[in-house]
Amino acid sequence: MRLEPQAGERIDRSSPLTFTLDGREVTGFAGDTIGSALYAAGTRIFSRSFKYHRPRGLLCCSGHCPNCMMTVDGVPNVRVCTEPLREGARVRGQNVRGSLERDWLSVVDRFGGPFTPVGFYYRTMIRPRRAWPLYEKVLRNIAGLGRISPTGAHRRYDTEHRTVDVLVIGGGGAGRRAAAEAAKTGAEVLLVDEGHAFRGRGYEVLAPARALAVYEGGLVPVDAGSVLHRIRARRIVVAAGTLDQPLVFPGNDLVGVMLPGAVRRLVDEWAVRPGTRAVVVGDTGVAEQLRRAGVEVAAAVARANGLRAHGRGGRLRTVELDGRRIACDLLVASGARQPAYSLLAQAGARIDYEPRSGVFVPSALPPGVEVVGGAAGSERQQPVPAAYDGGGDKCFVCVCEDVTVKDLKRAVAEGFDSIELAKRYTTVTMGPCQGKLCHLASVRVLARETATPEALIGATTARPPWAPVELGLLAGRHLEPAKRSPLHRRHEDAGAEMMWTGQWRRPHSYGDPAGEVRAVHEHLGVIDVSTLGKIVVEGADAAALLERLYPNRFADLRIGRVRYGVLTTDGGRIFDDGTIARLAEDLYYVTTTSTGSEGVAEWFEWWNAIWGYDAEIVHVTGGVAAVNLAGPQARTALARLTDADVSKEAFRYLDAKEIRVAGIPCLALRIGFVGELGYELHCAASLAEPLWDALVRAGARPFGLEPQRVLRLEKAHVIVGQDTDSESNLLSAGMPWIVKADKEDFVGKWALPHAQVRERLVGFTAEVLPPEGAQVVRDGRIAGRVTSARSSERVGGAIGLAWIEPGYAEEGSTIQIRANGELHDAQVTLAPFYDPEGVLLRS
Amino acid sequence: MTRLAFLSPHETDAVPVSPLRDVEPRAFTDVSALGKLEVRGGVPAGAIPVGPERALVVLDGDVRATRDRLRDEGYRVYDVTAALAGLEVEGERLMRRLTELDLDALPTVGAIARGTPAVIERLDGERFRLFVPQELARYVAEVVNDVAEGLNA
Repeated sequence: MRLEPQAGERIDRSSPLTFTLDGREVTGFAGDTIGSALYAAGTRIFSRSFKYHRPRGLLCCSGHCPNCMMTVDGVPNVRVCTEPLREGARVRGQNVRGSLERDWLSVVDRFGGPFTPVGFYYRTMIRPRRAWPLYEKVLRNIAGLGRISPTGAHRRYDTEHRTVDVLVIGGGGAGRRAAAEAAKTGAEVLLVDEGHAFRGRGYEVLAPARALAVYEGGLVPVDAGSVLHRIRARRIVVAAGTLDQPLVFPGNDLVGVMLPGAVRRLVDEWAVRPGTRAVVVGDTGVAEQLRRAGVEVAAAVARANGLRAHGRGGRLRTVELDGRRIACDLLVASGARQPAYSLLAQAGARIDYEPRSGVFVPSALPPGVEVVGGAAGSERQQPVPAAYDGGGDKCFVCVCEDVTVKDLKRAVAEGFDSIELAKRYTTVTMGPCQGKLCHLASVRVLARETATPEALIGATTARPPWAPVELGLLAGRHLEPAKRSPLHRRHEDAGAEMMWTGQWRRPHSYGDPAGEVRAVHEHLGVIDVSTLGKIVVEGADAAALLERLYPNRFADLRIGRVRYGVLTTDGGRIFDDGTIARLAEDLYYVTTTSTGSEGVAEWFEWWNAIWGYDAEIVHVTGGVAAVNLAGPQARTALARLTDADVSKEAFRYLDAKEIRVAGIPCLALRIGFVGELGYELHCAASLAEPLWDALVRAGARPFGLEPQRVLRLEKAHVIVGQDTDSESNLLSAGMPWIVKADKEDFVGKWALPHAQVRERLVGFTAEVLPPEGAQVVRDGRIAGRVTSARSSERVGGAIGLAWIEPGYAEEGSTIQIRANGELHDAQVTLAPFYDPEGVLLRS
Repeated sequence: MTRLAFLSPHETDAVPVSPLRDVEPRAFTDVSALGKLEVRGGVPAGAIPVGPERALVVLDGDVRATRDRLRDEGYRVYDVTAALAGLEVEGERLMRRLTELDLDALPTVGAIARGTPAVIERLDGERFRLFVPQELARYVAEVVNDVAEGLNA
């Protein structure tokens, strides 16, 4: 029922909006919240409580308490008291079996007491053990708040960053004054407020929006509904005001028991009469307002000596106040006004109990953080009793989690007598309000029960978020960084199946991996290897730097030649590999693995800075495209595309030449990861497409990563990270020839004498293809593991690499590999499976 | 060929391809074709500092001539034209949704669009220029378009 138009009301009576509650049509006005429209239409029960399923109605009407949480358009836990009404909104009650009016789970309230004492989930329903799956199913079904629709549409959430001089949190009188004063000094000031938008005097206003936390460096995330503002402020002024605290008395959760702020909002903002006959305890100022709104005020006292509420069907019927029994449907009851200190506490302020006023107050603010207004805690007030308990209905300390005074007493009796332990045991303050309405009361009751001063008990830790926030808002947009080769479009056009390798998108194959392998063996293939890490090392000390970074030698590498290199950590463990080409006396070109490029570039920079060499490290991975042209016809094809002499004599295996291919300047490296005659061509990324097109026109068939993995395995070429792990060293990986122990120093040299060969990396052939990671078994014991395995047409059967105990690493020895639950024989091979002498590579 | 010619798209008549070619430029202008030189050994006048003794020179002219001039002045110079994609965007709010960097402290090097390294400079008014690794250009361009869509929603 609406009142006559109120001065300053927010509703537009000329613009009705229709929505539904559990399918039933309800009408409100523009400017209403869903909560105010429902209340005006006569709804009193808004939710059912967490544990006892007691009916709950509007309590704070400020978006703090859990009482009005409903599911709106599929989004659970919306506080409808602050959610603006919109046409067509579909509102449903939640945490209900049946309806809001009749919820059959409310039997827990009547009969469940003995079975559901505080912490019951730790000790009941444990026996018989075999019944646990059933208990779990039931509990799982009942627990939780709201249900998320797995098929629901995603709302759009964005993130916005701001840097301001001054951030004011709270737009009450004190906040506005602080903002206006700061603005006068010429500072850029932003004020954030939970309420309605308004125009700031010389400062910007962000409203409705809620500051969620204060992090280090003055970072304040602010929830503005669909946008998360991440604000960095040089100065933070907290003007969050105070929070009316509910009184703790029997029946204090009945529908019809409200805080003064709720009554004020209902009348002032939405012209709704909150009840017909009221009792006021605490803030007597609200009595006059109730009278003006046509509510009969049966009694109004600043302080009660005894207080108890009785109801029927969960709704308030009578109040026992100081021995008088008064019939009423509204009880406006409030205790202390607790300064809203949480954001200050998160920022590092001290929080102490102030016995004279009975609230916690902040002090010792960190630099750059200030507090003004009610949040400072300077208001004079008298402490109220911790609780008016002792018989009667349940006496709630925490309405979010349905924690009663009795629960706290029991926790103390069981030994959980520190506030942090009692909090975890009873879950008091851990519900949706995050202690806004129950932290003070829980500390006060605990103090009383343990006969300890509140000041000694202290406050619990204030953690973000200060207010509930949708996970979607924190997650933001669904955008995943993907690195794409400059040839990406060509791969897509050729019908490649793309796959993730680290951040890169790469072609798995072009639909016929076996055919692509054959093309490389028999004719000509081309693969995009632009993802390889690439680093230019230039300077007078370039050779000295590489000499110390790698276990093998590079100072003696002749200009125009390439050498394979493996990088090891200080502990001698393999962490990357690649090729190093010397292009000039003072100029090297280094390639790394695809996933290791950034790490290697940083590694180079780090050591270069420590050693102080004259060498520039230029990380050119993305700027340079690379393709590997491979197959028996590689030379003929290349010769057709370049003026350079690429004959066997002029361009030998492991030569590096800067040549033009199809007119494009390329660095050509004659190396072969895939085992056939091949050239790796490196060119500017933006010229990769014309180069690729020329190679394809010359007869090269594109091949993907999967065929490449087969081809390299035929050569037993190791992939660092796949075939090696953080324990692998050069000796165990079968590469002792790389280590030049006579060098004066190199990274990892120190560890060489300590290197152990607990396992050896060997090749194997098998009749059954084992999965990668399969166990190697010998004499019934686990004796190693498979790191790579593929079927090879060329070798005829399954081939792979495996780590095995050194004793079994002999050519031709038999090991067993577990695949599909059975053991299969496999033969150890120490040489490459294909072209073991490397004749083709050198041809 | 000149030293490290294979890094550069300016040593041939072949037409370079922009890494942004496959993204509809709804909220940005593709300026990837601008010449970009990474300079080591100091910060020449007009260059964007990108680290200690490191700078990025952006130019819309003869890249090779500028490179040679800078080399003559004693710098080590690398053509990174192909390595960096360039996007011009408009609007402080759009930028604020792309990066947490302080827009009053540009040009700078930092992360945009969730960790993508970028060189960011402010042109005139609310126009900004972003240089990002070309392999992430398509992702960044899609984010820019998406952010603009969110602002217009």
